[in-house]
Amino acid sequence: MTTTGVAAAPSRRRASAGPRRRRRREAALGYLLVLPAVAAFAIFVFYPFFNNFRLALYQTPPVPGLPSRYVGLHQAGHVLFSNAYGFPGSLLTTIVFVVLVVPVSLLIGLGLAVAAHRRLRGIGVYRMIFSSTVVSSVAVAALVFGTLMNPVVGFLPWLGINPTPPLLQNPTWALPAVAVMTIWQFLGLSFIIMSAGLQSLPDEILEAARIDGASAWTRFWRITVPMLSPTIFFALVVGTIYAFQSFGQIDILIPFRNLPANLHVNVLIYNVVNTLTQENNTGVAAVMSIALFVLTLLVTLLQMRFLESRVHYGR
Amino acid sequence: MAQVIFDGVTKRYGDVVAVDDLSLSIVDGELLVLLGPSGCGKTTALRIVAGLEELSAGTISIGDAVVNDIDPKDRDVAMVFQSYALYPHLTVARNIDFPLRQRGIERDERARMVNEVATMLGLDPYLERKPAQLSGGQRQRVALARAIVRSPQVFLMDEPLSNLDAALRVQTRADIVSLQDRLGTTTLYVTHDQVEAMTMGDRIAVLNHGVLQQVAPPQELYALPANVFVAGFLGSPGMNLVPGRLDRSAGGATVAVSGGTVEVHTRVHLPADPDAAVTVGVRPEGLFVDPHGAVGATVTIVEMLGAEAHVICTLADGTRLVVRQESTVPRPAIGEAIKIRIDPDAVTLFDTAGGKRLEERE
Ligand SMILES: Nc1ncnc2c1ncn2[C@@H]1O[C@H](COP(=O)(O)OP(=O)(O)O)[C@@H](O)[C@H]1O
Ligand SMILES: [Mg+2]
Repeated sequence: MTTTGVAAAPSRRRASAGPRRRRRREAALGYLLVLPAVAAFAIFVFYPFFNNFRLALYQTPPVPGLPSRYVGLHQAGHVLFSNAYGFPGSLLTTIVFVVLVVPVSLLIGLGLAVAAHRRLRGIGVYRMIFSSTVVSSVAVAALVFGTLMNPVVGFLPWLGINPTPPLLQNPTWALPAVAVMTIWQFLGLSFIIMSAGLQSLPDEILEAARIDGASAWTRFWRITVPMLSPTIFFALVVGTIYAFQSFGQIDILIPFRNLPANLHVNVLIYNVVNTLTQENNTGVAAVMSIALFVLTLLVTLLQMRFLESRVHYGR
Repeated sequence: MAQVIFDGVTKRYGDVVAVDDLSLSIVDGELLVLLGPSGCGKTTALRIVAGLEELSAGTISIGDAVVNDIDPKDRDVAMVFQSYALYPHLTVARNIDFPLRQRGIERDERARMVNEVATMLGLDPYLERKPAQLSGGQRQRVALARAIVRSPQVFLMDEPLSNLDAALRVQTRADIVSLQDRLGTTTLYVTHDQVEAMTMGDRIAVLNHGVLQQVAPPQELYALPANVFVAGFLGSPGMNLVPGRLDRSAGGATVAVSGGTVEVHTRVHLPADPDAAVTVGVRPEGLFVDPHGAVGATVTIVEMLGAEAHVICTLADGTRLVVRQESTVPRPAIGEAIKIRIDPDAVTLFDTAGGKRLEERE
């Protein structure tokens, strides 16, 4: 026993030098392989991200061609705390939009996931249909919904849902209409996240609850939802970020050119793009996009901080 | 309390027949153990009683009522799952309370019942903990408490001890038996462990490939196994089974096996065919290493277990035999060629074709 131990020790030490060199070589190869991705990120994400902070400190000249003027935080204060660029209104609209979109899409996603979480013949088809909105592009979805809501040829007007002014130009209904489309779009992802969560719940716990006498309603609210809370929480964070960044559908459904002032669809990101492309005001657009970033970050952190403490992660 | 009756119960999953035409009654107040190897359909049978599986054929009754179409929550049975299936987000107290709450029992009454059961199972110090903060044995007791608290008509237990360590298993085994005895609740207890079955069951039902093999009290099952499967499955190690051919040439009866002959009593119904294929079954305690023995074998392993030793040897055709010896008896060496004597009184004969035991004559 002892002799073999002594004999084995030096050979083990000798053997370990090789793997260490090999490991270093492997690491070098690893860095080499991630380099293209890092470069792409650096050019298209990191550089613009940090440059944004610089842009926010300069005032864009009223006439193109003149040099930008350094104004420090003055411009930021002006944008954020006055109504000059519609920031407070945009902020409110964004919050309303998030509140319209997120809870509803989470609830429907969860409902569909529970409905599809059964061993029934042909259930796979339903699962595919429910999750399909993930793979449909925002542009196509917006066109489809735009057509559905079209006051002349649309399906909704045909059903009698045809306010004046038409849905997408109606101060009351434009934002909810866009929210409905966004809910539809996010539903696929919400469904997939919830389904994945349900798959990971042990069937036996729900069966135990059935035997213990719990009704379907009780099982859902007292067992499924609490046990799914990490999943629901994750979907909440993802959904909030998704809603904050919704732009394509608003842009397609309600183009800038027929945007009446009282049509409250001017969410932050819409405002940013508008400021940038219609008014060419890079400085102001930079300030607002940083505000959107900070807002997203804050909301995510807040959700983590307050909700996570109530989330159940146990087995 | 109530009896449970399986009548021609079959459960198929696609092509797999998990439970095959099972007819079995569990008497009111009895602890019946459902025993069989992994995958033989024990869990499925239990889930059928609970109402978690629909039947492919047959009827299942609890008390006097056929419950085929009754929802699990209305069957008044309690189940202890192999995984315990505790509610991970609820405290121990709330876990035990859960079934009571579903019955709309008043709050003070519930608290009293939870405390009573918790005390009975020694769970008082843990009532405010979550299941993740408990040891395996404590979780197991919470699962028991949750089943007991509602005084159901029937307990269903699916290998409740399989996740415990050996010492705790022996202890808990005794606890469950005395608890069941005290409560007198009809219990269907599933296990793959024949020692557990032998020590706990009023009766044991042996299942293999979904087919019921035999139902009997433990001692009868051990002494008079209905077929080679039951014979080999019960006992640790199980009964030795040696294929051979009947030889009635010398007036009496012997069985020619690989490496020798085995004398058998002729009080069983021997097959009409004078040289029928039969299987000789002998428990390890019916075999002796003896120079005057009639069967030759080679020792492959000798296992020392403290009070006793197992001499494992093979016959010329590769059949494995286990001889149980007192540890005081000298043990042969590995590789040694030995002779084995077989106690004729310990021999059980099986019909090789059907595997059934040859019955004694009246
Ligand atoms: N939900 C199911 N779908 C398909 N086959 C199943 C299912 N449940 C059990 N089986 C099969 O039925 C047989 C019996 O399973 P089970 O009752 O769990 O056995 P045991 O509890 O005795 O180990 C096994 O062959 C198993 O693979
Ligand atoms: Mg099982």
